[in-house]
Amino acid sequence: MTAMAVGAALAQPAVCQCLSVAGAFPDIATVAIMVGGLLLGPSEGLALGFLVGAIHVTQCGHLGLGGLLVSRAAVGLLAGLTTQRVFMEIPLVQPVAAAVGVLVCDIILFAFSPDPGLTPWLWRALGKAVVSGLVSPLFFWAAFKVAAWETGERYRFTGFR
Amino acid sequence: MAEQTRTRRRRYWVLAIVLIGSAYVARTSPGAADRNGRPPMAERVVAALAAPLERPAYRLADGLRAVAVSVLWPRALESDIGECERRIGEQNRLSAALAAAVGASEAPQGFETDVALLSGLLAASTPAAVIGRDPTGRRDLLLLGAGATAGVTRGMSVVNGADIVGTVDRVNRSTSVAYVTTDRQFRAAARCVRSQDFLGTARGDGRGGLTLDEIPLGANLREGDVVVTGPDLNGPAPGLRLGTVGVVALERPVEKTPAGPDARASVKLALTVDPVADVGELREVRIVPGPRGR
Repeated sequence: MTAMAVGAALAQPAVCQCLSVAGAFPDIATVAIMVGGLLLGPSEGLALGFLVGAIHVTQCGHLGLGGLLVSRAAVGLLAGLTTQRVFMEIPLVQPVAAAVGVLVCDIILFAFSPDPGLTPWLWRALGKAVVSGLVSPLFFWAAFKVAAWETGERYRFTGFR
Repeated sequence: MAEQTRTRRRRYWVLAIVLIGSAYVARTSPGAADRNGRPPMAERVVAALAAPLERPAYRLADGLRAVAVSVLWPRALESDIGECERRIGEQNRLSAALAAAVGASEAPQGFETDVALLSGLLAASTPAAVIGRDPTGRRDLLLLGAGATAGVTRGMSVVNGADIVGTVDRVNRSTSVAYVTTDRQFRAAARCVRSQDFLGTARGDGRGGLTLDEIPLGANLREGDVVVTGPDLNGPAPGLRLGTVGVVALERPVEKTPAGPDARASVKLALTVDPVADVGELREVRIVPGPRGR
């Protein structure tokens, strides 16, 4: 799970540059944090978010770094706290949960360093959340596969708790 | 019971580490950047470990995009290639026409100086591959594949030909991050090429344009004028093209400005830059030193 999140964080700038559709791109790093937090729990989600935030810090300038770290860590924590309330096995829940996570992450970041225009930011954030939601089943599928492999495929995966 | 206590203790530890780490990065990084442009040790270590994987990630994403475009929209790919060839042909024709015009006529002294300056800058430049954008998508940033080991320092200008693309802000070991000219953080002294008037400071508006405000009254400026960077010891190298004036709109009527030598009109400009505006298409740029050699 950590490798998936780190890989997503490292690939995120390239995804922004290459796989952007009309200004909206999948926030795969936040989706990976969401998946990790939902599967592993709050403290692991928090640590995973912090790790991804630390990688993002080196990919940004020198402004708004605290917000970057806190937003990622907070999403991991919140995902971990909701792990028993979100039914990840339902296919429709996965994109919705990921989209909400990406949106929450953007809102926290906005609170730390607001954009001059609210409406353009809102449209961008919504677009990003939708596109991220669309790619999220891939991450859930990979995470479930890894979890099943770790448990020796003896059980159908239903969460760690 | 003991298990619950252990879990709770572990959560407190993780929370404490995250909070201390966030406060450290938020407080230390900008201060260190102001001193020498190099990030703190912790960030440098993370960046050094991340850099070797960021380039393959970019190549992978670029390849995926090319495959997706060629499969889903083959005509778009063909038109992209056609557009690229058309641009190259147009640039070559313009260069030839310019060279012929300069050779046939007596070129103004300012023009010769600019050409000499640009030639010197480009000779001292470092090539860098563009390997990404701002991961949050909120700022106009470029992640470049050249860092401290290639001699890049904070404040250097990123150029594409004679056009300025941005300014280097963060320098990691083998990567660096630059603010694009349209980012809110970007600042540069501006000068009009036609009238040679200084136009104050050009600022990125964060919405894909540049704004010039507090232009001195009497500055000779009109739509279509080419604006270049002016001499500024702390800014980017002079003579680099910022863009062309698209819209000149007074923010407040001139008659309301105070009279006297300090009177200034606030003029808002929308600058359109053909080659630089589409930063998403940039694959290779050059990093040139500023007036102070950094």
